[in-house]
Amino acid sequence: MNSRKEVISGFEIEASWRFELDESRKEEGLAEIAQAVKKKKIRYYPSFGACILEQMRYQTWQNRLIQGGILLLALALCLALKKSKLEDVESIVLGSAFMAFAANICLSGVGSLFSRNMAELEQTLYFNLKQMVCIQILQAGILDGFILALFVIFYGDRAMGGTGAYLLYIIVPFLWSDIIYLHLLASMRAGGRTKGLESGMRGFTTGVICGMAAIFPAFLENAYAVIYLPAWGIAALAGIVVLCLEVRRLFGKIEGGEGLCLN
Amino acid sequence: MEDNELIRRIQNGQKEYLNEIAAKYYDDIYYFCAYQTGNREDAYDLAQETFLRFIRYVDSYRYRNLKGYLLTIAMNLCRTYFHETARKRMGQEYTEEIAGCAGVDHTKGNAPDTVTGNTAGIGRMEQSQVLSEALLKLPAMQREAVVLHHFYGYKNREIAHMTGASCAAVKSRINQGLDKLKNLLHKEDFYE
Repeated sequence: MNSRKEVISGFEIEASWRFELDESRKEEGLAEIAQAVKKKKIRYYPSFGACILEQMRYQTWQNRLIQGGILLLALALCLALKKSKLEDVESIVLGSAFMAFAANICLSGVGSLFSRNMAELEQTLYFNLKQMVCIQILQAGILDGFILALFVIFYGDRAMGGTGAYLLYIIVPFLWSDIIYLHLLASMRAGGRTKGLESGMRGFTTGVICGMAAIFPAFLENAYAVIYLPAWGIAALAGIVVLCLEVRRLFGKIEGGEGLCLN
Repeated sequence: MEDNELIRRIQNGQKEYLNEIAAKYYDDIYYFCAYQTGNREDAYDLAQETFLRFIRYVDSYRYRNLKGYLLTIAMNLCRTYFHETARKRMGQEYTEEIAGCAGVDHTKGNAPDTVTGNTAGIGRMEQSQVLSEALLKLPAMQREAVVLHHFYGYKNREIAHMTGASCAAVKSRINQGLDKLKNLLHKEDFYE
């Protein structure tokens, strides 16, 4: 029998707190438990990390290849900009056009979720469609953030107005490019048996269009002057708000179901 | 075998190891339930239910401290048991009151725990009975903290995690619970 010496504020007591158990009752209990064990079916429950990893494997190798290519291109562009003798405005325009293009390419992973016959069938056992879209947007955001950081690190301090201003100049086209892509994704039906490649083509096309639109401020005199920074700030804030609304709209459509059903 | 290895094998499909866990921790869970509820008969059912619940949710078990997890299940079951018995007791008291007015005696006392065995065993049983009754006089939260700390050796932080209280609250419960327990045991001449 187990006994335990208890020291309670200087008083020593010997408390045999484990009294005799009724072995027959114990055996009955263990027998019931054994019955439950026999009926139990063990199901595989992957951890949250394992589920996230699975989602990362969900994108096709073509998508990954393109994203890898974009990353390498970004690095090459940054190094070129660093060494070049281009004027400030030209460097900013190049950077913002590239960010706008890259944003669409990175987000094309979200589009591929809706490229089958019914978006709802993309759901897995562990994540619903909204969660899968969230993860893809997060992946795209991480990649975009990485590219943004490259630009800012390599060129930010050389830009007129400083690193903060440069960040603002390239983030505004990036935000609005994302907004346009998500808006088109939620609004347009691709119809029939659309494959992932067509989703990629959509990303590429909108990327090119947004990239070209990002060049537009270069045609405005002094658009990148420090005096117009507040305007860029407002555009960035508006972009963030509208982006949140677009994401909300997309989730609303997923909730509704019929808006994104491609059949 | 270590608990982590047992769980890993169970989650990989070797469910027979669940019986090993039940055999390993049955006594601990039973004693906890017995001291928490003060009812040794019902403690067998509560201990069994603890393991049945564990089996139900073992697929998604992700904690590190298996014994602590089982004790937490037992703790929640004991709390539910208290709520239900309090309701029944209130109902019974009401019935007795009504019956008393009508002149009918519906009093049902729980038969005291019977002890079988030798004299030394009876001595230990009496001690544990006194201890059990004294513990039952503590508020539920103090009783939980005292039992987990002094009978099972859990630290304040671990108890805080299991019960959902803060460390300071657990420390206070243990100290206050022990003070009360000491006074109660003194009155019962527990200390020789």
